[in-house]
Amino acid sequence: MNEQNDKELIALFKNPETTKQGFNKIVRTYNKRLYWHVRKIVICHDDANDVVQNTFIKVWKSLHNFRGDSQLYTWLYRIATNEALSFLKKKKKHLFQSIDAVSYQLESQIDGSYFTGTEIEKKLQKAILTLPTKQRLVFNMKYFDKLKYEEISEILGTSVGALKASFHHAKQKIEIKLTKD
Amino acid sequence: MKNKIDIDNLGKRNPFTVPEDYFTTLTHTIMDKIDTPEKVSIISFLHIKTLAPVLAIVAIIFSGVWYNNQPLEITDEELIEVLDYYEIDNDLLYEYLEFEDEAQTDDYLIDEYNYNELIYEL
Repeated sequence: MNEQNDKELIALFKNPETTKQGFNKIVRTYNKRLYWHVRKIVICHDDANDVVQNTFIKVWKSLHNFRGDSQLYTWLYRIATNEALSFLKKKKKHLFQSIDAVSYQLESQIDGSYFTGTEIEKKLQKAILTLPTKQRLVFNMKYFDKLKYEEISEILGTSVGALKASFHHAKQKIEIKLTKD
Repeated sequence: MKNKIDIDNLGKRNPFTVPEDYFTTLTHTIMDKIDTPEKVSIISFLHIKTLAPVLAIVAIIFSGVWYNNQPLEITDEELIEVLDYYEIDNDLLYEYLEFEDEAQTDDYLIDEYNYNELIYEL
C-alpha cells in the first residue's frame, strides 16, 4: 500500500465531516489483507471473522490517536496480530492448555471447510502449526504476505537480525518435517 | 533417502477460502457495528476480579456493624449467675432490681400521661 494513500485515508478519517467515509475506505482497503493474516493464525473462518471485526472496532476507537510514527498498515497489522494472539490465549485458558497445544488442536481445523489446498499445501499448513508462535508469525508474514523484514520488525517489535534467524529456523524445520512425512 | 523438499518451489498460494461475497458483507457488518452504541455492562466495566475483593470488604464491614448493633439482652437469671460468679453481694443485686422496677414504672407513667400531668400528680 502506498504511503501517500494512507495519509489521504487518515486525513479523511480525521476530518469530522468525513470520518465515517474515511473509515469505510480504510476497511475496504485493508479488510482482505488483515483477514488473511488473522486466518493463518487462528485457522478457522468463524474465529478469523470475529477477530477481524474486533480489530476494526479497536481501530475505529483508537485511530484518532494515531500519530503516524509508523505506517498505517503496519499499525493495523500489529492490532490484528495482538487480537489474534489474545484470542488464542483465551482459547488456551478455556481449554487449560498451552498455546502450542492449541496450535496442535488447530491442525484438525485445516481439514474443515473453506480449505481448497492440495495435499502438499495441507501438509505445509500443518507443518507451520507445529512452529512456536513467534516463528509461525514471522514465517507467514514473510512467506505468504511477502512483507519486508523492516515491516515485520515494526509489527512485532523484534530486531531485523532476530527475524531473519527466526525465518531461517522456521523454514528449516518445515522442510525437514515435509521431507520426513 | 527422500529428496529434501524446497518450500520456495511450492508456489506460496493461499489455500484457504471464504464464503461468497464475504468481504463485502464484512465491511457492512463493521460499519453497522460502529454505528450501534455500545451497551456498557456495569459488571464488565468493573471487572469481576476487581469487584470480588471490594465485595468481600463490604461484607466484612457490614457483618461487623450488624453484630455490634445487636441488642444485648440479659435475663435476670443470667445476671444473677454473673453476679454470683464475681461474688457480688445480694443487697446490691436487690437494689439494682428495685431500681429497674422503678424505672419501668416511670416509663409506664410517662407513656400514660404527658409530662405536665405527671408533675401535677406528684
